[in-house]
Amino acid sequence: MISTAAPNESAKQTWSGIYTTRARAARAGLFVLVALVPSVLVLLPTLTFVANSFFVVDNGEIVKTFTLSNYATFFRDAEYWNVFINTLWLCFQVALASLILAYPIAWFIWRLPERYRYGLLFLIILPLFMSYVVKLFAIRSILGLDGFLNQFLVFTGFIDRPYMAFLFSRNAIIAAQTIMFLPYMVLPIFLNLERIPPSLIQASSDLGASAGTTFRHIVLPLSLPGVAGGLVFVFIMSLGDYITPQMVGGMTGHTFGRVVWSQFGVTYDWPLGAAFGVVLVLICTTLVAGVGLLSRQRRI
Amino acid sequence: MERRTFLKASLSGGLLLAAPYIARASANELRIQTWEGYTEPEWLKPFEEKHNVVCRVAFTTSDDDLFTKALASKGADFDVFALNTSLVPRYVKAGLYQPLDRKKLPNYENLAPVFHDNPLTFVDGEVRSLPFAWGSNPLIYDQNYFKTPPESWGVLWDPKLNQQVMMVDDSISAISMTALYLGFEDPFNLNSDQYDAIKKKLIEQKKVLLTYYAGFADGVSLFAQNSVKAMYSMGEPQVKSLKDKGVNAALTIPKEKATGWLDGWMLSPGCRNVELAYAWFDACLAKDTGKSMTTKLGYGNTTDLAANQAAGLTYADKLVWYRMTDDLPLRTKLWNEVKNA
Amino acid sequence: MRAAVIADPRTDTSRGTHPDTGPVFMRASSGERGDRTGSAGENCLLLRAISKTYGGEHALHPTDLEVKNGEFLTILGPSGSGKTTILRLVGGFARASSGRIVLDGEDITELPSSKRPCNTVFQDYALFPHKTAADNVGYGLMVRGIPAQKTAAKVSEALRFVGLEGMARKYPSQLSGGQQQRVALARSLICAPRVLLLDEPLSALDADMRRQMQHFLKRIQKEIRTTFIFVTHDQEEAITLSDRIAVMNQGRLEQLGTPSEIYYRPATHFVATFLGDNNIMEATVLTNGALSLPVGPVERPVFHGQGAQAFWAAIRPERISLPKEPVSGSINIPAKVVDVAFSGALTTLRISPIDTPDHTFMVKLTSCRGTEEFTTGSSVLAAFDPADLSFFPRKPS
Repeated sequence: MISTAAPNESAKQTWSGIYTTRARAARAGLFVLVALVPSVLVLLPTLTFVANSFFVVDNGEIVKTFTLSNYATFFRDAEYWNVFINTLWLCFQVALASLILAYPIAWFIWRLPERYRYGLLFLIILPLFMSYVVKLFAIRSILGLDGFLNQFLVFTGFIDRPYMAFLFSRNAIIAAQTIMFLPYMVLPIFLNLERIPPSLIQASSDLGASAGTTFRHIVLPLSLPGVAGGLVFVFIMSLGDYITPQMVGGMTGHTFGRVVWSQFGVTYDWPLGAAFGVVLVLICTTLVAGVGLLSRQRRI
Repeated sequence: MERRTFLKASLSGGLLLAAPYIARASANELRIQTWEGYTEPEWLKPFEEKHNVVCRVAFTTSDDDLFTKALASKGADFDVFALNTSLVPRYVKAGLYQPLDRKKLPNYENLAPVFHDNPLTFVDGEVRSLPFAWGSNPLIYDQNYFKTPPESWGVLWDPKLNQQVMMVDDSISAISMTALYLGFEDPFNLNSDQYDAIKKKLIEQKKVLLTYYAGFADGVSLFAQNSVKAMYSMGEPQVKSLKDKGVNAALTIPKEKATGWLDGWMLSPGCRNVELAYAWFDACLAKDTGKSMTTKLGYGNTTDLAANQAAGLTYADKLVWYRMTDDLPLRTKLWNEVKNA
Repeated sequence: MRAAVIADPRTDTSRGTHPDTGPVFMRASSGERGDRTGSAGENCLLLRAISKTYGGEHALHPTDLEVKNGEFLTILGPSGSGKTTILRLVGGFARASSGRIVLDGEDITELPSSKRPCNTVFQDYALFPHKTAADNVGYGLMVRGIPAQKTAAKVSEALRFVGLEGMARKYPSQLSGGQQQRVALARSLICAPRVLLLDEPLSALDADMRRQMQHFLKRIQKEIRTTFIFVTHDQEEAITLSDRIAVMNQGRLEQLGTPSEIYYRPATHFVATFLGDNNIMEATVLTNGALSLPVGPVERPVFHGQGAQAFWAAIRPERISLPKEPVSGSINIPAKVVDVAFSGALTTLRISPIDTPDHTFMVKLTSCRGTEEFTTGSSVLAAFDPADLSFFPRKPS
């Protein structure tokens, strides 16, 4: 029995081997087909961009000779460094403020009965459908000297005349960006909370933990990937957004994004702008990779 | 350059889509490449009827696009084109122009003195461009606060107006205006000492500024919402927008002068029907055309001073026309440094 | 605060190698709750007319249940029968719609789950994925503020007890299903619950591991004498493990009894068919007190529930024999074999009585010499002792 079965067995294996090899090749081919368009549309411009960062502008024309001078400019010039560090710090503050505001919201929505949960979540996400500029103007008209907030505070007697500090300050940037990017923080945290099996919460309570203890030891640690995701989202969005600081930050609204922009829109020094852009992208990538590594180490 | 684009864009209601058109060799056709607003039916239609031709109009979206397009086809894509006269040297250097013969343009004499021999358009005895429309970057102020118009750009540095004055977030505007304020003769050709002085002055200004505003509409809404008393303006139409919002705004050209933009027509080296092109130029220099444009669009015209007068555009001679600068990167860097200070 | 697990050091010497023979003795301390901890046989948990409705639908009709101290009680029933609802009500994960829950004389109906001296082993184990096995097991002690050193000692005892001494630093994702099960058990038991609630804890395991864990659970329960309430839909598991079984159906308690009572003396049609195979016949009470079955009369029936007019009678397939000659005192039925199925130790036949061919019977014989003689179509004589019949009420048709 065994001796007759063996050749059959091996024949079958060979066949299945051939089959899987073919299937794998077919799948790879399909992948290449599917990935071709996005690669060409995304990768190619990015590569051009990166290539640009190694060129130099002479007399308004881009000269295609390899040079690191654009990067040297960035690292040599304290002016750029200052803006850069300052911008990173601002983005970090925005991300942190968003977290502080968004976590309770996400938690609250998560605790709601299911029939209200998604309705409220939708309300939170609704502003994402609104134009960015419209939101910005709305926020500014609320915070402005003749705006709603000042009028309200004067009306209620908290202040006796309109107060300028709501707008055109670092805090105004943080407030405006926090409000605008809030959904990007609420969403990942909420989705993460939803992924926590209810039995874990019950188990914690069952083992004698109060609601607070359960939150500290179970819910919070298990929601950290969502928190990390949200932080990365908001940080990167804040890093890329030079309009909001410009529009509500007043004298403090100068960010690295604006510096990059000015190389493109005003100076036509694309290589220098590209080099700055590459530095930004590298920072973002490092950040995402770092967060990914951290959460893997924590097994969450 | 940016504010020019912005101005046109806001006036044209965002319809600035350069319509691709098929070039067709035709004796009865004039191909016009222009900013929107310079081929209004008021003067285009009569021209077409009079000469029994069809005008094919393509709108320019940006200075750079225009130059790229001209460079790519050596000017063969259009017969005539409108551009900011500050860029004329760029086209001349690239050979993308034909000098004009003023003898073939009876209406050339309609040009007001300030435009007649303008150094931007009339160079080395050559007429390179025909001045057609103009505007300025005046000082806009709140008439409820200023009983008489402020005389100097110095109001934008006045500590008494702390947090009540605004500047535009644009290196060329800010540096040029400050150069004028500091009395430097040529704001588009500065030496390093002058740059240092300008930088110092601009950093000093940050103490009193409410904010830098980002664009035409942004400046208007900020002015209206925050009880701003005075600002550097991106152009005359901001006054009208402010008045629409109920602000008692007015403009003035301070004693140090202000910058101005001047657009003109040029003859493309690829022009297929030079006679027709001259006919179009002459039609544009007709007083009626100037009057129609000023009345309809609010731009200053170069021929009908009465119409300018009626629109309050009486200060063409107090303007310093924009010109190209070769130190854009330096200006950008300086501006970034100012904002980061 | 509940007393913590005490591991008896005496057993250290006899530490076994097989995980199932982990010898550490674990029992609830008689410390603080000693006065209220009843001795074996007394009632520990009382459910008084407890019910649960969801949106007007009864998940559990008002039900009484008494759980004895130290017993292994299984709540058995199909899905949707209300068995898990009872567990959730006792564990404090659902609020009772009516009725009271009394544990050791104390009404715990309104207590939150964190304050109840019960612990639950969840169906999905509910291990905390971000904590090691040791931290999972020590969680109950940690939240009670017991010093880390003391906790650590108890945790390693508990892990040894469930046979996982080397696994303390592993995360749940690094453990097999059976190992996770043991961690969950240790985590609950370390809190020294008065009642341990187990919600279908073996349903996710493969057959081998399942059998192994059944033995393990049974042995542990014997050792520590903690009251276990075990929920399952697997009747074989229920019979193997339990001291008593509560059979649930459609939100009602159908029968409560020992496994053999449940098996041989089912109180309802549902119980008779849910546990194992059964031959069920209509039975009618005759005027002389005898019963009439389709296959013949029964002179002196042994049944409870007098007063009912209509009954079901049930006979287990393994209680029917196929003798060569009629057996006196038994009901003898001449029949034909309809179907034979050989499944190793057992041979299952389906026979059709000559007189009432529609009333087929299932017969289970221990396979032995002679069993293979029965083939489809062969004539046989079936016999069973009327004493082996069980009766339960039937709505008259």
